[in-house]
Amino acid sequence: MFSPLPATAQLPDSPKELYAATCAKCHADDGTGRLPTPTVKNLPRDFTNCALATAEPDADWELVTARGGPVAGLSSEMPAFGDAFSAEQISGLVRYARGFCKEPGWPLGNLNLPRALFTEKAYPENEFLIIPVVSHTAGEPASLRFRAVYERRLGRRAHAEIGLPIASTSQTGSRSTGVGDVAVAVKYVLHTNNVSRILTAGTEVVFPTGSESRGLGSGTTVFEPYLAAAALVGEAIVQSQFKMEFPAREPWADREVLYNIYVGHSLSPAPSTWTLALELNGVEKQLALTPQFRKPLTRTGALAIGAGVRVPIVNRSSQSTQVAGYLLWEYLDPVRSRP
Amino acid sequence: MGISRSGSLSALIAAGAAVLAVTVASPEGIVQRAGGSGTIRGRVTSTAPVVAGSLKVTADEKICGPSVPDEAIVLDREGGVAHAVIAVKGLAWGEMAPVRLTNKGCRFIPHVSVAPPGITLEVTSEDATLHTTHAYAPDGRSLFNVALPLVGLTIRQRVANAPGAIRIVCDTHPWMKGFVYVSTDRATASGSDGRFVLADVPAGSYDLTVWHERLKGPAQRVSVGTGQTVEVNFVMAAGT
Ligand code: HEC
Repeated sequence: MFSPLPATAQLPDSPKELYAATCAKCHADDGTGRLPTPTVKNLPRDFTNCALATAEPDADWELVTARGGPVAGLSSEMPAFGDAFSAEQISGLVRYARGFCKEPGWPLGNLNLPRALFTEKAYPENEFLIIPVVSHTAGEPASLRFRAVYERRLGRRAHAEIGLPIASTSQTGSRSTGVGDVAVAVKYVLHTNNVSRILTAGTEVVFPTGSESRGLGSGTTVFEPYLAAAALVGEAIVQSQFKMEFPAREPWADREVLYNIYVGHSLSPAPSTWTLALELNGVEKQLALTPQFRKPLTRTGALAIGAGVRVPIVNRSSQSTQVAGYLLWEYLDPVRSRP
Repeated sequence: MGISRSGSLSALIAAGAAVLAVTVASPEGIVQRAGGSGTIRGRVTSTAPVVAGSLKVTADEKICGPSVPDEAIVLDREGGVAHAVIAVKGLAWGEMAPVRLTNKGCRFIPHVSVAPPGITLEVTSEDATLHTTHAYAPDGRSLFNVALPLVGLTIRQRVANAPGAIRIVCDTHPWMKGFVYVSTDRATASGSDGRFVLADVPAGSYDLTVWHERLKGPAQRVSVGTGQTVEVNFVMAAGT
């Protein structure tokens, strides 16, 4: 109606030039978002700051570019380009914007997958978690355990965490409630292709801070080295963990091998979507299945809950049925949607 | 005062009347809405001094020029107020074509448009730069924000169901402002001379309201008889 040119002929092909002609008006040519006279009130993140610019999956950035900031709880000043640009143009622009982080070695958020109830997450996180577990064995009163976990990323690939449990059990006949075994853990990303695979090694050390006689602790320090791996297989999210538990002293507890395999699916690419999953949990010859869900509570995804039931399937008499959940807070992300 | 035959208008404006209303043959006689229809027309004026202001362009000067007119209050030489919205309470809309909103010369054209709830807005650009058309509901919530990086691209967006003045801005050209006035009642915007016409109004009595982004004017009651043209004039004062 207006243009003598076919619409697409007006735009450059290369993502760099397309970025310069459009995104740069707010994100700046250098990706920092620093402009002499910014035209938006909510300044965009600095794309050159790797810690901030790598933790989100490409799919989130593509979604934000296509549908605008509010789809991820970000400012509505980030406009929707989905009617103007093709999916290829948008993924090209996101790839280009990713390139502003020049430091190698930051694992990309494509492998920042929804947290499983039992399988360790391979991707390092800045999170605070509350993890309740109710366990029930036939003929015994239920026991309850709450863990508060603080996780913090260290550098590009590492992560440290500390977990403080409060337990309430009736193992000794009368109910006792108190501090359980405090755990400290570190992990390190060994390898990721940044698109579909990640491998992480870690170890947890559990200290005997809980009273063993009251059934609140194991009575010995336990070393728990593990490998955690995750992959995206088509639409499926696969996470797995292999862990050994070595008590510092025999015979207080036995050496054990644990393994967890999680297969899940997110219903949409939006950060606030539901994820449904099934986990297979093994401890030596005991096997259990844990159907579960995860649902962010905010559009930004900074608060989320997960819950499921762990049902013994092999060697059932020696295992308890557990109702487990978590409430997580990604404390560096905004909880409230930006205006 | 306040009642006049259509045509005696300029005299009344000169007299500085605050509120003008209506003349019809027998005001009480036509409250029935049987069959026929008439026309409501009139003029929106203000005694505010004419200030042909302009806004400084702070980006894309090559495309937008050094400045654009400030359209917050647009008065012609006789005090006619453009971009005022006159709504007829209780009068339904007829069939409405999508409302078109064009980014041109780094302005929104029209500066003010009217729309029934839920209608489709066709947003387009004639400027070879990146515009964003960002709509805010009266309560300040963002409704949509679409990027227009191409000349001639048209993007369709449904406007809000809630009535009120939707504020339109461009996040790359901060001086750009416009409004889409969503009204459940049939409405029209005044032209550059302050005049407006609402044709095919079923005979009956109606309350007319006026909205303007900066100025305020009182509601008025009119009666329209079959085949009649009723003249209604609004005199606007600075709003608070
Ligand atoms: C009108 C200004 C504007 C334009 C043009 C713009 N953006 Fe943005 N963008 C923003 C703002 C503001 C934010 C920050 C929103 C927030 O953090 O609340 C943002 C955020 C983003 C994010 C989210 C990053 C994060 O914090 O996770 C991505 C991705 C993004 N923009 C990509 C693009 C791309 C690609 C383009 C070009 C096609 C573009 N933007 C054009 C204003 C803009």
